[in-house]
Amino acid sequence: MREDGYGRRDRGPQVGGAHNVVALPNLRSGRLADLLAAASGPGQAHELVGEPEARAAFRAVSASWPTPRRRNRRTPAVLAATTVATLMVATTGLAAASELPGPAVRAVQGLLGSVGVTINPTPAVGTGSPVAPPTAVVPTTAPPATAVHQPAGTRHVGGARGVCVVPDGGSGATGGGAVTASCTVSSGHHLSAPVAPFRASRPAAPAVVRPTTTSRGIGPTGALHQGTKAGGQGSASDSVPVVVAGTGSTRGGNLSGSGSTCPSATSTTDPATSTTDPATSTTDPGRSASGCRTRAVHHHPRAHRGAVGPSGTAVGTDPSVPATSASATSAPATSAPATSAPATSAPATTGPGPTGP
Amino acid sequence: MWRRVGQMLDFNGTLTAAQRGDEEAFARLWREFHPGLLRYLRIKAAPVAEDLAADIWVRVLRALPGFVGDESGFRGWLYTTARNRLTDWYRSGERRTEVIEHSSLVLLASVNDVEAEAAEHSSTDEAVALIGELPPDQAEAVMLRIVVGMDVARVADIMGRTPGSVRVLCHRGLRRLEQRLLQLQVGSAVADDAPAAVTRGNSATVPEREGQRLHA
Repeated sequence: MREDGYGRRDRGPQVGGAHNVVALPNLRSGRLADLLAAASGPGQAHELVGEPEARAAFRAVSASWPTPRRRNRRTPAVLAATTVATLMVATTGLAAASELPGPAVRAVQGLLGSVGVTINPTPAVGTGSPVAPPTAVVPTTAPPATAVHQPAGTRHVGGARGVCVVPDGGSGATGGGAVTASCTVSSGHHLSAPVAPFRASRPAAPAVVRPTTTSRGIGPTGALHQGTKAGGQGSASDSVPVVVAGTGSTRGGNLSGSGSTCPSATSTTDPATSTTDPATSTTDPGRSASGCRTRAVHHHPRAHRGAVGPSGTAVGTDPSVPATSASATSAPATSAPATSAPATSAPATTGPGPTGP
Repeated sequence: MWRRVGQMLDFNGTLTAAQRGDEEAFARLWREFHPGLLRYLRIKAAPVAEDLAADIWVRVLRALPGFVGDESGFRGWLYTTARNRLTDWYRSGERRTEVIEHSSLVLLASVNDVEAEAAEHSSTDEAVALIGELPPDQAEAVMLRIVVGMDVARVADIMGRTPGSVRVLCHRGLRRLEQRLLQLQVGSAVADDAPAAVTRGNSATVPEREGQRLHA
């Protein structure tokens, strides 16, 4: 036995010594092993007497188990693919509804109408569609606000207080050239206004001819104020909201007599000043004429140029508007596209218009 | 080594069949696992072991279709359920004394062959009774670790202890059992000599031996 420098004696390794090992009970032989074997033995008869009750419990509980479902991992993918395909078909159908021939249009209408989607497509001119468009809503029999089809290339659209003669449609060959609608009102005015071509793909406002008693709203030649907000122009009783409406060309940008400038209301009249018989009007009750005009003017890139003067007279600022297409006092902002921007819709409106702030 | 109760040859197939609603498959499971469960419950709550076992099996049956695991996992799940049910039983105050009127004792079923039944119960029931004499934690550890045959980690999970603690409990329980068996052996040896002792006028050993038997 040695001593270290601190006077402690080294007793040698003790950890792991024989006195630290705990003797484990013998589980392989002896009485303890027999005891544990007996305790771990198979079930005795008296321990299994409850088997019928256990079986009954199993039957009762297993009856309430949910039916095993086989999970199909393809289900989410199939659902997603079906949804995408359906959306693509639906949107494509909606987009192409106006490009299809008449029977196809009707088929699409029937198909989409069954699911609650209503479309008013305007078939393209020149597509050979032999069927009148479904939105050709200008009534031919309902007096007085009817548009009379004239086979001579013109169309009379009028009401109780006036009639407008509009060159008939089918002038797609004009390629966007401006046409002039002449109107005669009961007050003796004879009005003529250039009707701007439009694109059917964009809903355009109806061409409302609204004569006024003042000369500020209407020029000496009776030219129309178009697309301007002429709050002081004419009284409601004097105005004749004759609407040039119909289904127009979808491509040519020409206003035809049957051309509709509103997507849902082809004979749009101002409810306040309307002389159109509501019973025969084809105006969509859920869509006002002003809303239609507002949307059309907003689409016009130069709509804001036709500002409203302090006196309520429209002051045209578009220098590109020819003098012959409008009066000297009102430069029709919305008529500018008739000569300068054929591709845009240009409603020919007078009176309270949507171009205000 | 002996084949422990609850060890099946084709456990997975039997379990799958039982999960599909096969009653016979469930019966096989029950016959294999119920005796061990009942013995475990006897050392924890002997008076109500049968009732608790039936309740535990109902709980297991309700969740049986969703069980995923092997035999060891099923055994651990079964005894975990049993221990939870025991905890509920302890907490719910169900441990009230059951009073049996004297008049109802005559309604108890009589045993025809007492000796045969006693001989049948002698080995297993006496062994379980001896384990039940241990302190509760040691008895539970020995029962789950040695008798049921679960590994230390699973026993520790069930008992809420560390594996080292389970090992210590098992060791101490086995040591105590061993000592108890030695005492019984000595007692038996003394009892064998008891008639002579009685003959010799020493009657003190006979009640002692009978008391040990009854206690065991």
